[in-house]
Amino acid sequence: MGFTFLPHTADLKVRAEGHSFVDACNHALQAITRQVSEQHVQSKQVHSISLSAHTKEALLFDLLNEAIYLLDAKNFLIHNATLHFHSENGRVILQGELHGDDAGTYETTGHIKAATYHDMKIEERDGHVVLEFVLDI
Amino acid sequence: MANKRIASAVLQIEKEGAMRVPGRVFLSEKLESCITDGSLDQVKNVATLPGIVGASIAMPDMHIGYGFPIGGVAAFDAAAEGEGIVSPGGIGFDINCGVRLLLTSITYEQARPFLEALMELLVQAVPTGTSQGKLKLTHEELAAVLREGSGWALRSGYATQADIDHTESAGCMASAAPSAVSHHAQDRGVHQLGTLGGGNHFLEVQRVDQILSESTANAYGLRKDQIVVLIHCGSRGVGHQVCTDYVRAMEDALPEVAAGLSDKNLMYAPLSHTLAKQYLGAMAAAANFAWANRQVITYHVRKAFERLFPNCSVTLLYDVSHNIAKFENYVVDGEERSLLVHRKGATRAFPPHHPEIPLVLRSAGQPVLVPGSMGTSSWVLSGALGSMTESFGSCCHGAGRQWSRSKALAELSVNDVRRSLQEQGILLRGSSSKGIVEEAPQAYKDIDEVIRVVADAGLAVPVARLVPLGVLKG
Repeated sequence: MGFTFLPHTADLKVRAEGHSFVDACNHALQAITRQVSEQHVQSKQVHSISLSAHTKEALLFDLLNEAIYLLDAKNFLIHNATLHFHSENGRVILQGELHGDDAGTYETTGHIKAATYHDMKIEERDGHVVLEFVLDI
Repeated sequence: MANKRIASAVLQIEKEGAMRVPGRVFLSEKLESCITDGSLDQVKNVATLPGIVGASIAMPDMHIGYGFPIGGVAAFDAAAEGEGIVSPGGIGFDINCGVRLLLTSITYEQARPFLEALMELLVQAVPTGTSQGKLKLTHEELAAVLREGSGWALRSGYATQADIDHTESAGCMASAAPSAVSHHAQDRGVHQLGTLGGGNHFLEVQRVDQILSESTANAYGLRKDQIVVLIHCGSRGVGHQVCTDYVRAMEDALPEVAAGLSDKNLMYAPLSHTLAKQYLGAMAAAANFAWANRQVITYHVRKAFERLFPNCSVTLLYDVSHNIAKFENYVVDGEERSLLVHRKGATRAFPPHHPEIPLVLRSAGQPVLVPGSMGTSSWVLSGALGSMTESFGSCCHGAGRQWSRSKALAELSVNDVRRSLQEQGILLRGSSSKGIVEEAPQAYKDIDEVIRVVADAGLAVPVARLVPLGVLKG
């Protein structure tokens, strides 16, 4: 389980897999990091997140864009995430911590503008979750 | 899908299913064979949106985008009682991504011995990729940039009045509403003014290789073997976040719209909706940031030239946006109508005497700036009358990708790309090995064929061809 980059004409399509939704989300975040730097990113800083949406697709969209925001605005590059997922009052909620480091201390090889809804897919079957999405780079 | 070739440069997608208008795609047969990525389906999807007028249009540099294709043009009814919409995805994440062309008084012969030194100065002056800018704005200063655009740059010493006079909309959309820009978007913008960013953004030192229209070239101040500088970038994180924020806000506020879309990146709000008004205010603010961004970069380019060529002049020919929505009037079926024209990877191409062309350029027509890929030519065209009847005053914006990034990485090596550029005498700076390969010339369509198509279709007239000497990749 992990992530792979798939062909896309102009941008970056990602498939992230995991044993659960949060496990797959963790790998999706690591794909973002790999696009930005090929170096091993250490876990020296922590950012808390709390996201809520009507659907899992919207939640994934928000999570990916939060990671891009943290990189752009706070220079924070993710090593991994400790996330908890639950549903409440018709909404899906993702809370937890993002562990990572100052992006300025790593050689960067790529850039990301935004995560999109294009070709977004969430498949969950028998303990195997597949997320697919496209990053605008 | 029923596609019918109605002219050598025009493919029509017949109306079917939920399409409210046909598709009109400016493509030669040669370029049509390059389109295998689903972008023609996206033209069709856009044609289903409420209030669309005339046709869902795409330019010859089209390729797949998010909801709307890159190279797409769509005009929506903006009348008060109309059913028109605004779709953030129809403008794109990089709001007011655009191009500006600087003209210098230096000739190729004068510049040649100093090109390496010039590129080193430009590398130092213009941050690329994820690098932050030299300016650190307070949130109050950022609000002024979002409100005033190039006007802020003029007030702060980064622009001349002539720069403002040679920029689309004078570098400022007065409808900007900084208060509609989220804190997240503002956080991304405070340290990004004066930066290129990454992806396909670049700054190129070029030589005017060929003049195709002497009279227009004279009016534009272009001459053979002149050194010029082409800058391609946008609103950076501000624009990206504005698009992200409003796609989500519209999705939450208008679930019945979201549920009916084949692609959520087509998400829209009716123009009468509060979110449409807020988005348009935020979009204009991000557009103003982009104009200020290209203006600050221009300031640093001038400083670099002045260090090597103390008496040279560096003036702005034009700055044009290719990711934006604007209210414009067109005659449709004999009736003048107010429309909100979405351009996503498409450039305005207004013909001579159009009132929105700066006075100093008006009689020659609006300069249309079309960058190629690194290693191939870029073009200056002038807007033509055909654009007003065929494409809502629009033209192509580049060569357009034909290979995926993964295919480029699989088929090319960085050494091959570097060697090929070296053999052409092109200096390459910035970017990573991966970025260089992903942006290799082979990954893009034939820019000269793209230009032939827009010229054949009467959208614009070729004025000059430019060739790269030095490339600073984002």
